[in-house]
Amino acid sequence: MIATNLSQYNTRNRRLFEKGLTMYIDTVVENEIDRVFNRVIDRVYTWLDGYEREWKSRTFNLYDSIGFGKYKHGVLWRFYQDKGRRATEDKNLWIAKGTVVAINGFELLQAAIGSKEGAGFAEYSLVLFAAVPYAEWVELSLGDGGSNKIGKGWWSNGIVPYTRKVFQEEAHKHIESI
Amino acid sequence: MMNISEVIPELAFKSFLEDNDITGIYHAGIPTSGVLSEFITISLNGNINSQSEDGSILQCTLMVGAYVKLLTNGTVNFVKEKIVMSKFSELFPAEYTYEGITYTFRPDLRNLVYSGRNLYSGYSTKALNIQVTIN
Repeated sequence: MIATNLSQYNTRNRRLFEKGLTMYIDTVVENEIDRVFNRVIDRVYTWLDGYEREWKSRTFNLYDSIGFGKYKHGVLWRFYQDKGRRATEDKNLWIAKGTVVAINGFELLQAAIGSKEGAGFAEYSLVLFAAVPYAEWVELSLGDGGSNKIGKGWWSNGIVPYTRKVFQEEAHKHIESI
Repeated sequence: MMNISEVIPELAFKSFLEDNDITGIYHAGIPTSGVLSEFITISLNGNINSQSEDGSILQCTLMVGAYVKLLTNGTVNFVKEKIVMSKFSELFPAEYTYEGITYTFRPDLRNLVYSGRNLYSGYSTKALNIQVTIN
C-alpha cells in the first residue's frame, strides 16, 4: 500500500517536473527567438536610416508604412511600427488618382492581426509589413512626383530581400553561437 | 454542439465590457469621425481553434487596444492610461455567458503586443492579448 502511494507520489512529482521543465524550456526558446527577431528588426531599421542619409525623406510616409509582426502559433504576439519617427505631413492619408488611401499604424496593425502569412506556417514567425502602393508608384514613376520623386531607388534595393538576408544571417549566427 | 462559424468572440467581449461599465468600444475598426478621447478596440487575433474532437471547446485570442488621447503638448497621458488599464485588468479572469455560450477571458498581462503612440494619430496605445475559451 505504501509502495503504491509512493509510486503515485513519484509519478505525480515526475509529471510536475516535466511540466515545469517544458514551460521553462519554452520560455528560454521564446527568449532566444525573440532576441534573433529583435536583431533583424534593428538591422532593417538601421539599413533604412542609412538610405535616409542618401536621400532626404520629405514626409516619412514610406518609412511609416513599415511594420513588423512577431507571431507565436499564428497569433500576433508583438508588433513594431516606426521606431519613434513621425511623418512630417499627411502621415495617414494621401491621394492617388482621386482616391484617398489610409496608411497608418492602426491600418498596419489591423493587417498584422489579420495576416495569413503569420498564421501557422511556423511555430514562431516574423512578418514584415510594407504598405507599398505608394512605393510601387515611386518605382513606376507614377503619381504626383513624376520621375524625380524623392525616394526613387530606395525600394529598388529591396527591403524584402534585405530582411530575408538579414534574418538568415542572424539565425545562422545564433545557431552557431549555441 | 456549437457551430464555429456562429461564434463571434468580439461581440461577446464587447458585451462583457459594457456590462462592467466600460464604454467606448470599437469592435469593427475606428470610425472616421467623432472618435472618443479614450476608446478600446477589439480584434480577433489568429483563428478560432477547436480543443476537442466534438468541437464543444473552442479557443481563440482577442487583441484589445486601449487608446488614450495625448495631452495638448503631445505627451502621453500616463495618469489616464493607468486608470484605463487598471479598471480593465481588475475584471479578469472572468467567465461570461453571451447568447447561451460561456466565454472565459484571461488576459496575458505579462506581454504587451504594442505600447507607444505611433498607431493612431494623437493617441497613445496599449495593446494586449486576451485568451478566450468558449464552451
